[in-house]
Amino acid sequence: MAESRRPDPDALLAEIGQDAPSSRGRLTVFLGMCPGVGKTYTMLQYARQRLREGVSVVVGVVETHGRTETEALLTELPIVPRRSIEYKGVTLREMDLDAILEQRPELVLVDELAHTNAPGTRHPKRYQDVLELLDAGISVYTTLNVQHLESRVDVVHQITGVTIRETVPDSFLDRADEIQLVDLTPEQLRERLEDGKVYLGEMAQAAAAHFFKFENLAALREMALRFAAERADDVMRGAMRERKISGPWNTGERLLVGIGHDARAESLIRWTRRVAGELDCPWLAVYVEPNAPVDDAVRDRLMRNMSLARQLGGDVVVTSGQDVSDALLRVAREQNATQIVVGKPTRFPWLHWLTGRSPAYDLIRKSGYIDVYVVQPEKRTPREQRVGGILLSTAPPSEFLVAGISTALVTAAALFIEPFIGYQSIALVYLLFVVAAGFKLQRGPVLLVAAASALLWNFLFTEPRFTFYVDTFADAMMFAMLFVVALAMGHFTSRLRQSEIAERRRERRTAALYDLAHQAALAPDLDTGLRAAVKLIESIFGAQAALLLRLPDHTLSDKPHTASSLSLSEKEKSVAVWAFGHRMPAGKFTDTLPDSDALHLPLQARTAVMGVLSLRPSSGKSFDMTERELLEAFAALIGTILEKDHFIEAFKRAEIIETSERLHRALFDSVSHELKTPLAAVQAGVDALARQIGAEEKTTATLGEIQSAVRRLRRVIDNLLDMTRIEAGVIEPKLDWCDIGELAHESIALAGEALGARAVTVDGAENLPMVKLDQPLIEQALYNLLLNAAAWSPPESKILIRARLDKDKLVLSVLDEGKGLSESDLAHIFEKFYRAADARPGGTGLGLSIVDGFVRAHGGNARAANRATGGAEFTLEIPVETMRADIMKELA
Amino acid sequence: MSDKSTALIIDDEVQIRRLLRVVLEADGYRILEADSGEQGLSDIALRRPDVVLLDLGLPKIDGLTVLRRLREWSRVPVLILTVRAGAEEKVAALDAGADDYVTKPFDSPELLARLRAVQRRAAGDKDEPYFQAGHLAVDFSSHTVTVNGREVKLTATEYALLKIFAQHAGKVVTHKQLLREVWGPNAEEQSQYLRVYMTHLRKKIEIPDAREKLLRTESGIGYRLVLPPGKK
Repeated sequence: MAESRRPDPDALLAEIGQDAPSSRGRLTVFLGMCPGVGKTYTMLQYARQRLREGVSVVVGVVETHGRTETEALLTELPIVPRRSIEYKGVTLREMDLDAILEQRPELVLVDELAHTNAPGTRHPKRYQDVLELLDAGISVYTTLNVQHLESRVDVVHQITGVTIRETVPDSFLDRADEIQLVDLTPEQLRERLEDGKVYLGEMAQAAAAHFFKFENLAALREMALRFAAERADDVMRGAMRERKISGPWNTGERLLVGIGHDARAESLIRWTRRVAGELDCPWLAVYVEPNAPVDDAVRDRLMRNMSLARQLGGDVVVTSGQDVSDALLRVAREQNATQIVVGKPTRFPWLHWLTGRSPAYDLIRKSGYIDVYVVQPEKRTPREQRVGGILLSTAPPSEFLVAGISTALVTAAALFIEPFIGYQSIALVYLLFVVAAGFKLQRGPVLLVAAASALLWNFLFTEPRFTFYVDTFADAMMFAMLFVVALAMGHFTSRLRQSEIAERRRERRTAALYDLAHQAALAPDLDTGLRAAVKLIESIFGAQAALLLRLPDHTLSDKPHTASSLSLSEKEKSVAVWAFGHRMPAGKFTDTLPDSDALHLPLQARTAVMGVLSLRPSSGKSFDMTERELLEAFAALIGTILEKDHFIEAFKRAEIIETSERLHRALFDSVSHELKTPLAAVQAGVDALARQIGAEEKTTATLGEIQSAVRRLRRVIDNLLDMTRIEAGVIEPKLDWCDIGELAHESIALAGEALGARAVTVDGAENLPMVKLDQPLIEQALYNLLLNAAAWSPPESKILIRARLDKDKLVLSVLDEGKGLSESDLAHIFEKFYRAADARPGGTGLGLSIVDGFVRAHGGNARAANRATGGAEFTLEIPVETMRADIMKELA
Repeated sequence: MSDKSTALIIDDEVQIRRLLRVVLEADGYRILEADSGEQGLSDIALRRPDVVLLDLGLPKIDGLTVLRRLREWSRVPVLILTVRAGAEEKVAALDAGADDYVTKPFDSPELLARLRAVQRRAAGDKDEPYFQAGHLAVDFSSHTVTVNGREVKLTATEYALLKIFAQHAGKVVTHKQLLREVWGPNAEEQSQYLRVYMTHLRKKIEIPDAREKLLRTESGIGYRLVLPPGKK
C-alpha cells in the first residue's frame, strides 16, 4: 500500500520540533555490558576533550573505585562537592543537585545512572536527578550497564540468576541523544578481572565469579550490542525519514497488555515492552477494575505493576467492567490497539475447562481483527492467596456468627414443624432460608449456611436419621439441589452486592465532585468557596489540607490561604514550590521527595497552575487509586475556580479602567471644544479684520498684539489639557521607530518664532540608530524644553540639543546659556505650577511638568542641572529599543 | 465669475461658519454653509461644491461618519477641522479619505494654503513634467533632481518617495500611504523602512543649516512637503 509507506506527518513534525533550538540539555549515555569494561574511563576521556574545547564541565559524581588510571583522568576536572546525608546513623554522600543547578555548567558528569539515592534527597533515583538537570538545559554524560535496564531485568535474571534491584526505565534511554557503547570482549574482560582491575563492589566473591562466567559475559555483551544496534536502527530510520527514503516505517502497531494485580503481570509487562521495542510501536497496559473492593496488599501490588508499566514507557489505562475480555476489547478499540497480550490462565484451569469460559479463550473468540498473544508469564513469587482465602476473606467474622446462629434457629424451627409438613418440605424451608441469607450475607457466610443446611437436613431429617447416609434417590437429589442452589445464590448475590458497592463508590465520587462544585464554585466569594473546599477534602479524605495560591507576579505565595487547616514547614513549602514550578505532584506517595509529610498537587487550570493543594493524611493512611484520581479531579476543579475568579477580577479591573478612560475622554473633548472654538473664532476674526483694514501701521500693531495674546492663550490651553491627560494616567505611549535627528529638527521648527535669533544646534543625532518611542510625545517634550531655554537665555545666545545612547537608554539634553537655576529651582522645577521667583509673566508653570509627565509615561526620567560654564542643562533619559545595526545597514 | 471655487463649510458653530465665510470670501471663494452632517451630505450631493471644510466634532452624526458616507460616492477634496491636538483622530480621518486637516484655532494663511493644496491635488496636476519648491527642482521626464542647481543622485526608493511628495505638494501624506505606494500593500506596518529612507532623502535634498525644512514631519501622522509662501 502506497499510503502506509509514506512518512508519518506527525513523526516528521516531531522531528522538526527536535531540530528547533531547544533549551534542553543533551544526554549522552556510556553503555557497557557489565562493570569493569571502562565506561567511567571513557566518559572522563570525552569530558576532558570537551573541557579543552572550552565547554564548562563539572563532575557531579564519579566513582573511581580506587582505580589509579581513572583517578588520574579526574585531576583536571572541577568537582562539585557531594552533599552529606545522615541516615540512620550512617553518613551517605550524594550528588548535590541544587549546587549544580546553581552553578549552571554546560556539561555535568553523572556516573552510575542506576544508583538509588539516600532517603531525604529530592528524588529516589539518580536518573530522576539527571532528568531535572536536562530540563534545566544542562547536558549530561552518564554511565550505565545494560543489566540495569528495566526491560532486560528478566533476561538478566534468567541468564545469570542475579536479581537486579537498581533499574533505569527504558523510556529514560529514549531521551538519550547519543549512546556510546563501551565494548570489550569477554576474554579481555576476564584478563582485566584477573589483573584485579575490576571493582566488584559488595557482590560476594562467589556470586561475582558466577556472574563473570564466560557464557554470561557473552550473553550480556550480546544484549548490550543488540541494544546499541536497536538504537542505531532508530537513528537510521530517523535519517531515512528525513530523506524520504521508503523503508521499514513505523508499522502503525499498538500493543495492549491486560494486567492484573498479581506478580505475574510484571513479566507480562516486560514481555510487552520488549516486543513493542522490537516493533518500534507504542504500547499500553490496561487494568480492568473488578466491581469488588480489593484489599490493601492487592492494591499495593497493582500500583507497583502500573508504575512499572509507566516506567517502561507504556501508557496505563484503568477501566472497569464485569467481563474482563469485553473491557479489554473495548479499550483496545478505543485506543486503536492492534495486538492484545494476556497471560496464560493458571488459576483453576479445570474450572475454565469445565465452564468453557477462560478470559483468554473469550478474548480470542471475540477479538475479530485484533491479534491476541497468550503468554506464559514467568512465575517469580508464589501466589499469596489460597482458594478458601479468596472465598472467605472478604466477609467480617460477625457475618459468620450471624450465619451460624440463624442456621441453628431455622433448624430448631424445622424440628418443631417437621411432624406437620413432612421431612421433604423441610428441604424447601432450608432452601428458602439459603436464598434469604443470600440477600443479607456475603458469599462466604452464604456458603456456610448452604453447607450447614444441606448437612443438617441430611443428618436430622432424612431416613435413616442421625446419619449422613442417604437412602432414596429423591433425597440424594434434594441434597445436591440444596448445595447447588446455595452455591449459585451465594455467587449471584455476592456479585450483585459487589456491583452495588462499586456503584456506591462511583456515586460517592460524583457526589463529592458535585459538592465541591456546588459549595466552592457557587460560593458568594472566593474565600468562602475555598473554605468549603478544604472542609470537604478533610471530610472525604481524612486529611488536613493547605492551599498555597499563585500571586499576581506568578510566583507561589509563601503563606497558606486562610482556609487552610494544615500549616506547612519551610521544607514542605519548598516541595510545594517544586510541584508548582514543575506542574507535577510531589511529596508523599510520589517520585519526588517522597519522604515529605504531605502530598502536594498543583492546581492545574486551563491556562496556568493557580497554586498548590497540600494534604497530610492522618497517620498510617495512604490514598488508593480511586482517591488519588478524585484528589486530582479536586485539584483541577479548585484550579478552575481560582482561574475563573482571576478572570473575573481582571475583567472588572479592565472595565473600571475603560469606564474612567471613557469619562475622561468625554470630558476632555467637551473642554477642548468649549475652549478652542471661541479661540478659533477670535483668531479667524483677527485675520479677517487684518485683511479688511489693510496695512495701516497702528491697527497692524494692535492686531499683532491680539494675535500674540491668542497664541499665548492657545499654548496655555494646550498645556492644561496635556496636564489633565498626564494626571488622569491615560497616556499610553505608542511606540514606533523614530529618527532622533528628525525629531529634534521638527521640535525646532515647531518652536519657530519663539526662538528668536537664538541659534539651535543638534549634536550627536546623526549617528544614532533608529529608536522606538512615541514621537509626538517626545517631540513635544523637546519643544517645551526649547521654549523654556528661549525664555531664560539672552536673545542671541546658543542653544544646544545633545543626543546619545547609553546602553538601552536614549539621553536627550537641552543646554542653554542663560543664568542657570537656583537651588530651589533645581529641587522643584518639574513640579506642577512651580514658577521660578524671577520668572517673566506669561508662563503657567506647566511646560516642564508636562515634559516630566511624558518622559515618565515612557518609563524614563527628566533631570535639571547647571552647566559648569553657566546656563541650565535639562536631560531626559528614556529607555528605548534600538534598531539592530545589521537591519539599518540592510535597509541603507 | 464662473471660475470662482465653491467651498462648503460643515460646522455646527455659527460663529466659526460666519468668520470662515469672511476669510474665504476675501480669498475669492463662493461659500455654502451647513450646520449638520445630514445637511452637509445633501448639499454636497445637490450643489456640488469644489471643496469641503468639515468639522469632526459635529453633533448627531460625527464628522468621521459624514466623511465615510461621503467617500462612498464622491471624490470632492475634504479639509478636516478639528480641536484635538493628538494624531490619532487625524490619522483616522486621513485614512477614511480626508485630504488634509487644520487644527483649531488656525492661522488663516495656513488654512488658505491647505485649501489650495487639496484642490490642486484634486485637479490632478495635469502631468506636469517639472516640479519646483524653493531650492529643490525635480524633472520627472529625465528623473533628475537638483538642489540649488546642483544635481543630486537619488536611489530608486528615494526618488519614488520624493515623487509622491512632489505630487502632493503642500498636503500631508500619511506613513501608511507612503509605505503602500513605495513598498506595496503588505508593508503598511513596516515603518522602519520609511524612517531610514526618509533620513537618507533628507540628507540629500535639505539645506543643512536652514531652520525651515522642505520636508516637515507631522508627528504620528506622516510628512508634508511645504511649499514656500507665495507659490500658488
